[in-house]
Amino acid sequence: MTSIIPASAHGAPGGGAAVAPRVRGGAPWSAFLLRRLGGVAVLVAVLVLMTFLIVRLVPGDPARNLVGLTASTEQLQAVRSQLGLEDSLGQQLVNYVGNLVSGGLGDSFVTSQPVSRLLGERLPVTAELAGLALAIVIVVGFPAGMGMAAWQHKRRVRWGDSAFTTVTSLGGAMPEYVTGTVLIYLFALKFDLLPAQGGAAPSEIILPALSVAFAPMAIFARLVRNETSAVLGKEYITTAVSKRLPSWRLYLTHVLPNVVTSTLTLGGLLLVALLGGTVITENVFNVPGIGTAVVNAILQSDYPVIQGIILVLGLLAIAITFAVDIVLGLVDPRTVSAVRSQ
Amino acid sequence: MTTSKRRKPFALWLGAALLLALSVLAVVAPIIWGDSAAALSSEVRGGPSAEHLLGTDPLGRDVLDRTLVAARLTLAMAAVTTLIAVGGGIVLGATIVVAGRRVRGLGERLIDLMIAYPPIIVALSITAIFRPSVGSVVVAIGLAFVPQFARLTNTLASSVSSKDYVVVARLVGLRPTRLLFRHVIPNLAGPLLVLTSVGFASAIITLSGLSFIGLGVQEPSYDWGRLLAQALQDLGVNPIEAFGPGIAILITGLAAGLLGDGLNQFLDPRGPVRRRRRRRAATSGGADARTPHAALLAPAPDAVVSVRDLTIAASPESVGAPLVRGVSLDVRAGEILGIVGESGSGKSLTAMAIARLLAPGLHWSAETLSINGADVSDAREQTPVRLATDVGVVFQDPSSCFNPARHVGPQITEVARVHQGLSKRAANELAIERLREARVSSPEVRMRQYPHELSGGMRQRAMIAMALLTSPSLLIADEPTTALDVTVQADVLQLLHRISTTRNMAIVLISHDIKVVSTLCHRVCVMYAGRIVEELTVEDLREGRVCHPYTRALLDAAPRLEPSARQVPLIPLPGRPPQPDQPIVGCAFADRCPLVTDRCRQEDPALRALPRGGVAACHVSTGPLEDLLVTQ
Amino acid sequence: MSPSEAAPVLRHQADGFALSAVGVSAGYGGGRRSRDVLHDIDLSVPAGQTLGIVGESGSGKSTLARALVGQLRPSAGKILLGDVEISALRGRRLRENRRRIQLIPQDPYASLDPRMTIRRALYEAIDPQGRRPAQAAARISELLATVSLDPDVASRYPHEFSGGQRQRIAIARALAVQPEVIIADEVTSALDSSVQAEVLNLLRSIQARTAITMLFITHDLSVANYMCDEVAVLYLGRLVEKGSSRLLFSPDHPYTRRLVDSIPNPRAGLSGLSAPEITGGEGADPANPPAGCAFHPRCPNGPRLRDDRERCITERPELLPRWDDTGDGDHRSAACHFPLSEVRAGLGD
Ligand SMILES: Nc1ncnc2c1ncn2[C@@H]1O[C@H](COP(=O)(O)OP(=O)(O)O)[C@@H](O)[C@H]1O
Ligand code: SF4
Ligand code: SF4
Ligand SMILES: [Mg+2]
Repeated sequence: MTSIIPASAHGAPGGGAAVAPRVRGGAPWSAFLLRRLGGVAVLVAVLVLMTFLIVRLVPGDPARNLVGLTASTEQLQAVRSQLGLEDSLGQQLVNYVGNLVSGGLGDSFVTSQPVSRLLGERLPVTAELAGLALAIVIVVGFPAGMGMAAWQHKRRVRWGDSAFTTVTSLGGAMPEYVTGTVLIYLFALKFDLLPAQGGAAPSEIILPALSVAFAPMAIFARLVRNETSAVLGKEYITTAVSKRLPSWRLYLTHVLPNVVTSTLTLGGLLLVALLGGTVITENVFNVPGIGTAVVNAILQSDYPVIQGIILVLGLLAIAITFAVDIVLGLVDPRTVSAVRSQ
Repeated sequence: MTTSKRRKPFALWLGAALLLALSVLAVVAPIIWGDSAAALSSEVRGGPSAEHLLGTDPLGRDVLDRTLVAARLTLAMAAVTTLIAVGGGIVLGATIVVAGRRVRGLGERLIDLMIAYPPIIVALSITAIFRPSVGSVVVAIGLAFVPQFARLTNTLASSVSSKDYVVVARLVGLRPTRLLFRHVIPNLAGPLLVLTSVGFASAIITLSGLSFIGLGVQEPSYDWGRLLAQALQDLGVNPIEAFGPGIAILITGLAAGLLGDGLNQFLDPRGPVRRRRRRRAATSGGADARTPHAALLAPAPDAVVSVRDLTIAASPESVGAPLVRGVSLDVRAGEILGIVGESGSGKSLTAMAIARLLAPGLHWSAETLSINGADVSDAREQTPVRLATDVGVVFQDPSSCFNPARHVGPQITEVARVHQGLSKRAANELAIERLREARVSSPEVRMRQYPHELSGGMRQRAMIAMALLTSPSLLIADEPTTALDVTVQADVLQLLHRISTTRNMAIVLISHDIKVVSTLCHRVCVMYAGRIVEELTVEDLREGRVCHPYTRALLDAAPRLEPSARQVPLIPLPGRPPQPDQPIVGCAFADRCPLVTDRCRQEDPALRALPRGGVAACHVSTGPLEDLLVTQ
Repeated sequence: MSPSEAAPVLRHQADGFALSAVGVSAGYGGGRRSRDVLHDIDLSVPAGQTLGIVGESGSGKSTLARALVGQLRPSAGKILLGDVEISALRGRRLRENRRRIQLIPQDPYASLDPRMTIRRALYEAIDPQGRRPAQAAARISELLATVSLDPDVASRYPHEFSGGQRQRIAIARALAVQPEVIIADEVTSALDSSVQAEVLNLLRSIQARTAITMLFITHDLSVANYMCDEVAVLYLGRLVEKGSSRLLFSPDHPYTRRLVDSIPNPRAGLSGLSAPEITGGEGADPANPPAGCAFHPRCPNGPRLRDDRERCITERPELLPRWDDTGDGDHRSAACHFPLSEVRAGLGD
């Protein structure tokens, strides 16, 4: 799943700080954390409400839909109570949240297994896939983008930029299911190097991870290229150049931190978008993760499983966003003190 | 005045043409191929043949026809999705901007938060509620993208509505609605169009993705995503089946993306504008011959910096039309040399060339460029590391000269640590000493602060301390006071003066303000259109004994703080300096000069010693122009 | 309206002021977070004259301009424009009266809508309701001629002009409204000094011809001296001195003195510049100024250098009328416990 990410982060905290207020003492960090944690609380609350509402918003009677028209009243009642649909809406919400707090996500309608067990089995596979994809995106995309910008800065090859832009636009427009199909055809069917079936084993995860990572990698490389060029044009880089530092030192201490800062804001969105890509890719390779589980659950109206998985996906996304914010605060001091002036 | 033709980027053409073709296809395909796409045949999962170019599916239907027919459903879904996403986003984003201050703050924070949820979560939830179908998937993805579009619209709209021209239009008495329609919306239209095409690309890819995994279009309807999913099942038997729908999704996504990119480039005022390569007609007076100025200057063995015939061009092709033309100068120890001129006259380029800090991509050459007796005039050679300790540099804008992500201290000590191998402690002590010399209060504290925690004046002083760290023999200060308040400017000028006397240091001070150079410097070079047009002592400048009409004009245009100043009108300098892409024939100042003669327009005057004293590049002037008005 | 409230209005009218601020405070941020950066400003601009507002960056000059044109609602005090209290108006009444006072913003690159031709921009200013397009053409040519631009340029877009030309267009637009008062906010600070003179002369000649009232904001005292009949000096959001612009040559307030001495004076060279100031007082926050006299941490006559001046820390000096020792008979006032004229008059050193 792609996300709408503008090509550049100017104006984000990476831009020039005008007259930032002077900060005294260590208060800004706690204010910063407090504000971010407040955001997390709101996000989690909305997420819980959203999953709660999934069952309640189903048109008609979800229980009746499930058991079918021919079922007996007892069967219907049983499903109703399993879904927690008997009480008033407020009471239902209280029960739902109460269950969540005690770790109860309910049982699957189809397999009657606890949802938590299903998650326990499938989440690690998804996490491995997403983690590997993320690693590929960063390990390939970051150096590629930064290297490109550095090379262009030094040499200014006229076709260089447009070639890079063309390649990354093409790559960035490849949906993961198309990439996956191509990869399966090439590596599994044509050359028989890797299995078409995905899984947790190293050989089974390579192709899915590549499919997830391919487009974001291109988008990320382009983003890093743009940000690096912008940083290289800044006056403080001229100051640093006047110190005649070895280039590794120039790039490591002066360019890198600022590129990381300006990349992270949008890169965070990209990371969150990786989750969507994972869900889709799992279905291409039939990976036994939560992405395949949720699709099956939706097709079978297995509401407890749907709720559980969406909750987990949401929490993951929130955790990523929070982590990105904290890292941003660590690398860019202005982010922290800006909280004050807001 | 510059007129520039906007070039329509190739991406814009290609994207628009592809999308147009696709829309036509969407309309006509079901009419033409509708029947054949539904026709069953016995050729099940057949490979490509003359009859079925892309083979057949498990029921023997023609894949090519089915791909073409599916265009309508796929594109229609994407269009409606985009409408929901972009429309909803725009309405939400704009409402928040227009709403009262409190609603606005709350709304903006909420949108910021909502972006944290990946669209897939919203999409899955909605399909779970309404069961997978065309309608639910369209609504699902449309809604899932709303927060992102709302945020972008919001950012755009608030930046436009805080623009000065909107403020001024309100003062003129425009009603709010008129303001919205006349100033805000037209300036938003471009970016929003870009947004729409990007949204369309995302919609097509995401919709097909959901159909692909079975959560979108259901049998017997089909879109490209479903066709591709079927093809995946048959991949082992009939790989060609995947080709049609796969390519269709790619091309459509790409076309919309291209259109967006193209629009973006086209609408960006800084974007690629068709401009002829900067080329000045070859300067008469000969860029090839050694400029007389270099000959005029005696060799100066005691000079800290010696420059002869420095020429800088934007590209190798424009060496015949340079930005800086044959500049020669010397600065001795303890001397402050001022370079003054309007912006764009080449002052900064000259200074940066001396420090060997020209941006890569600029082409320069010099007959001599020596610092402390060491020759650094070979442009191809790696810059000698000793320039780091021999030359200190101070720039105009102290707010952007320090790396914002690092503490001030390590930045100041960096040169000593890297090049002189000083220990951290020794370097810190040295830095604190320099900060104190630059009159920075509580230097120990400043070392541990971030640049943004210092005031502007403090930052500039810290910058000077950093430049002084290794006791360089030359300090280059490019407009060091332009961004500062007058009170801070006065302090910094005095600081520079003290440095030059106590350290016997050579300083090159660049300023557009003739009052600043004549207050601080010992000797002044006046630059115009890339050349030095006059060189004079500060005594002559202060007394107004200037020989070049341009210098005279600079003096006459500068207001003075004197009781009588109100009664003496300033004399503005008409016109503008020649633009870099404008040919210069003869004296570059001819179009603005009150003394211009025919000769001036044909022949570029060389810098020469004038009969009645002074050194200037002028055909007419014979000595100090005490009073240009009378001469006129 | 109670008599005490009416009093400033009456005085303002009786004395022929075109624009007055009475006890105006203003700031940014709403609700609990609001912070005043402008405190208790009293000033009046006599009709047909130019008042200069000078001060360092961050002293509140632009905030004052925004408050005076109604772009920013004062948190206290009132603003009188001719016979109306403009700060009390809202909606349509405000829109009608807004045309009487116009602003020329600092940045000529941001003050013109990039998508509007010069003609449309001027026409909008002449006739925002768009009722009489026919009559406007002649007026547009006339306006362009006033700012020495060729009438042919009307069909061009702002990006085709240089900074100085844009600033002249911005002036033409302000004139198009036929306001009683023009506020020029640092109109030349983005321009080269050679172009600056042109814009300054243009404004001076317009003022001489039309007797328009002008508020001229600048950080450059030599420009203020050239342009203004009167000046008011702003420090951290408060007026510290005001009076005839001749006061620049014998200021009463140490801050004005400091500003004056900071202007590079080629004739005097470096010795003309004031001694570097005691450091540590920079970067104060106008929303939270130092107690007593806000200038005291930087004042060369103040408590940091003289033990007997505790009063500067404990008590805020009022802006009081001063006698003028220059013999011009000018009126002036300063907010200082130890004004320099008293020092000159024999008290001091
Ligand atoms: N990196 C560059 N590439 C191309 N042209 C440049 C570059 N830097 C400056 N110029 C051009 O060189 C001329 C002189 O610029 P500059 O040295 O900045 O003048 P000043 O210092 O007097 O403002 C200007 O026309 C400017 O546009
Ligand atoms: S050479 Fe001619 S045009 Fe050039 S400055 Fe001298 S008199 Fe003017
Ligand atoms: S009141 Fe005191 S501190 Fe303030 S300006 Fe006057 S002498 Fe200086
Ligand atoms: Mg410059």
